[in-house]
Amino acid sequence: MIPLLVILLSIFVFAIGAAGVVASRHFVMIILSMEVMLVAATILAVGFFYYYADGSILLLLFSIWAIAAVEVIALIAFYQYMLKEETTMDVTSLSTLKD
Amino acid sequence: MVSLDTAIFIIIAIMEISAAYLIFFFKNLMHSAIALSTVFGITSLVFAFLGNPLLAVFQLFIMVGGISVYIFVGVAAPGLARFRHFNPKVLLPLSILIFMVLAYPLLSITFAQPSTNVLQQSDVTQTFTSGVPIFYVIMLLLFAVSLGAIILIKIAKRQVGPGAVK
Repeated sequence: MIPLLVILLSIFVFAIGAAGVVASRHFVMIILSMEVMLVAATILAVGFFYYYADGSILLLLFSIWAIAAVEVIALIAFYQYMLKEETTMDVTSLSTLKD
Repeated sequence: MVSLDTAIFIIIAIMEISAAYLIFFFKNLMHSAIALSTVFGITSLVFAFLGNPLLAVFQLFIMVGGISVYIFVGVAAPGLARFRHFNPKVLLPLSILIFMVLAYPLLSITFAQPSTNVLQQSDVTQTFTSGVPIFYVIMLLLFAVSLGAIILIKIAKRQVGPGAVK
């Protein structure tokens, strides 16, 4: 199997995530879109290491997964803050946070 | 003639892309979180297909630890169905446009001959013997995050009341 298919899959998944960030207005959906982009990064990294690289991919993937976990924690923190402050989840109205 | 592994990979890719789109087309956040967990699961399938079963298992660990948190957060958002949270007229064309822009340079690339898979069986065995305790600690930490999310949501529901999501 040629590596082009893996690259195309990762690019397509990344494009869906990037378009989701642009098209979504809900705070949680934007974080989910970023998670999709991280999935695309992991697919590309694993594909590259499968076909060409020499060494271990574990460190790289764990760094990506750590970023994903930090996103989850940040999501929960902001979500709880928004619930408590009764602010809207619409990111187009988040200028009220400066108050 | 498409070989068998290429056909299987194309099927997996279609499943993954469909699940990724479904994240945005579901109106309930719980369903979106389940679709995202499906994306993670199919990604672990891709890892296994690319000859990395160890990474596939790790991907499942992360999925269990991370996506369960998303689902718990989704439980606290029953009002999302009333919120028009994305624009499908933007998502579909924009995703295809970004894909075309990013994939266009690939047309002029001549790929080098791939080497063999570097993660041989011996490497996998060594990783299992030396690194498994660390992975278990990470999995337990993620599980603790999930439990913490449940507690936070319960506290928030008690303070704010059900259906208070805007």
